[in-house]
Amino acid sequence: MPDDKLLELSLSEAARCVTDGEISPVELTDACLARIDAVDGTLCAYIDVYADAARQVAQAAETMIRAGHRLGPLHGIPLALKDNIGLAGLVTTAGSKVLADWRPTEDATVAQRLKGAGAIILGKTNMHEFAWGGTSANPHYGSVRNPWNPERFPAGSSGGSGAAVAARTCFGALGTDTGGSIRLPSAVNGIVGIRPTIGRVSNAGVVPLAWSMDTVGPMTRTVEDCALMLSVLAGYDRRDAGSADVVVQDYLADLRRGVDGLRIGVIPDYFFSHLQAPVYAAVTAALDTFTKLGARVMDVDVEGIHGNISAQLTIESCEPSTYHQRWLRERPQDYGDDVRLLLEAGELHLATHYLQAQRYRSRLRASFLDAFRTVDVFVCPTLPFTATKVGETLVEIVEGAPEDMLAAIMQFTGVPSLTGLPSLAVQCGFDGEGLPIGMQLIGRPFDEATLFRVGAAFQSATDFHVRAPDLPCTLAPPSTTWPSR
Amino acid sequence: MDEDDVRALARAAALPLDDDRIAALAALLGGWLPAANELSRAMSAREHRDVLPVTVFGQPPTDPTE
Repeated sequence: MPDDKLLELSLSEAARCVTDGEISPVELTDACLARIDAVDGTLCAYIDVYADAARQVAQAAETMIRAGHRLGPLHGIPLALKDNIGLAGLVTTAGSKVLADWRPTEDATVAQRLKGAGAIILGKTNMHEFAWGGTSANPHYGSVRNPWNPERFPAGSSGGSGAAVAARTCFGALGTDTGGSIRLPSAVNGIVGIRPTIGRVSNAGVVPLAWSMDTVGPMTRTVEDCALMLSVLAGYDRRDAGSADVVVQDYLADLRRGVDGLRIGVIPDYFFSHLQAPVYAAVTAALDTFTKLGARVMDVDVEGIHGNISAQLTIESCEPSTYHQRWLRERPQDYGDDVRLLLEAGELHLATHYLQAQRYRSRLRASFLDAFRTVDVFVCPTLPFTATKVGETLVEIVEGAPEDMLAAIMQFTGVPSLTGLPSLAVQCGFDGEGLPIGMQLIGRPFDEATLFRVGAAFQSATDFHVRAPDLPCTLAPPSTTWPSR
Repeated sequence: MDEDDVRALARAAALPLDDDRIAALAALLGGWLPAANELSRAMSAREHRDVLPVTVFGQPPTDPTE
């Protein structure tokens, strides 16, 4: 099969083909590495690529398949990890100069689980420095660019993972999400990504941003792929004190069940009142699609939802500043300007600000749990605008009224982050310039299966997820010249 | 929030700040801290008196027969 056809396979299709012996893990890996060579000079999506190691693992995976052995559902599938996820003996920078030489002594639990299921780790993806920002404009490793238009940003902080998946350089990637860092790049790059319920996936071995909100999750092109990856990642981990000992659902079982009779809640007063017009049109069209599929869409009022942005900014300031306290005093010059400013700002809040914000989270969560008595899932935009130009720090949602990027970009994704609820980002349209638009599905605690069911129903009725960016290829140095770490 | 306020807060936090940092921090916190104060005021309302912060350890139910 030619490389371009191989790379158009979904993760699930590729996994089935590997299992059936129709394609080899070596073919898949070589196709991904060639694609990285062709496009990453433009995208800057990877910080490191393990070409030789990936080929060796692929060869071993092929030998195993020929002998009738399959490690798990990801056997022979090339994936990428955000560079704040530790791999034993390999530099894990978290997109920073501060950790430019840090080599963890063991794999993060999520990396162990992916490898245990047979995945091939291609490399580490670029990101916003220490995950503290939403643009992936990285002063140390270069600004990540959007495959749909390289002059536009990929959002963040997992911008490298989003761009890498959308550009078909890998079949899936891991991101991390504190205030929206999986869902924002998923929306802006036209892919799928889930922020699982807090505690559903282990954070052990992952460089933290804000302990009380951090989560790891998969980013893929289809909902089925996302469900497959989460089924490997989810589950209790004694290495992570925040891990939840809750039974893991079968995420694949209900993918084709449809949404007939499902109750979908919308909160017009908050999520639909301050949007760019194409985003509003795409998400309301998605709601129409759900209605045609048999779901019941109803307006819901969630008490106290206004005020969440301040709570996010306070918590996302104070917790990172606590983690970085020593480095900020000993080597402040090693941080990029934007992250240094945010870390300094986090030191200057009062303890009462932080604790009132944490109390607000309890209140908002209770309001959502009340609302889930009448609806099964909420649908809203992932963010209120489409991709801005690389390097922008302001965004115009309403023409002529520029807003601060950070507060604007996480005003919708922050709601699940604060409440700990699971949230799935699914592509749902394009604006007039061909830039992707995403919607966000929010579910009950530990009910990721319903989100996948709803997302899969939408993808079965639409074709946004099969469209590919027409990315101009600029030949980068061959992968063998990537810095050996 | 003015530059003197930032200097005072930084002193309280034992955070050394060059002068070129002060103005940018005053501008940023000038937007954030009033919003944080507003949230604090709202959460101090009588009806929220019993709300716990999420930092409190949640103890899952245990089965005494296990």
